[in-house]
Amino acid sequence: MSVRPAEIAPAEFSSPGSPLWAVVFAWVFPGAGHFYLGRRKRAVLFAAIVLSMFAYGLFLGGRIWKVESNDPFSMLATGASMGLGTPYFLSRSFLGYEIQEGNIASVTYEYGITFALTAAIMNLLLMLDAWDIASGKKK
Amino acid sequence: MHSHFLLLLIYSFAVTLFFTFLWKDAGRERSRFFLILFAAMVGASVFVAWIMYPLPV
Repeated sequence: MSVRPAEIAPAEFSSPGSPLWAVVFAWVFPGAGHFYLGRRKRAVLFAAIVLSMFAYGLFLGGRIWKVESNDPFSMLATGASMGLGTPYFLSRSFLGYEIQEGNIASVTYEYGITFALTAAIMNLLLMLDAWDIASGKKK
Repeated sequence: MHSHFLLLLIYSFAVTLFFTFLWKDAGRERSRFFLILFAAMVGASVFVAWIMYPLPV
């Protein structure tokens, strides 16, 4: 007796790892979650894109966000920037004050902010993607 | 680097590359998606820039 395709329950994708650890690794370092899940080449590419965008943003004179009491927007921007994980905290800890504050007089100041923030938000997306892959929702 | 257009191209390239590898798996599908998304980002940016052109500085 043959089984018609409609009678076969859709198979979930196999889970290559723990979703929680995948997200933690993805947050700790860009691409690490995908590396943990076996997507090695993609992990390296994601890491290269995210880190180069962040670095280029600082090169353009963008700032590294921190919470400022008189600027409510800084809370949102800082929260988003923390999505970058270790690179954000290392930058805050070891880069000079001038680099952290950015160069507001530079014509590329806003571009720099955009590049750096986009890199951080990309890493947040990578965290979500790592969760989906580890949960078996995505191949 | 003070060319706004070049910065637009670099930004669009990086973002498009990111989403291409995030959402697409097959080689040909990736190429097609990359080109469409890149063109859309650059084209939309230029279009909006021209829409804003009559506005005061």
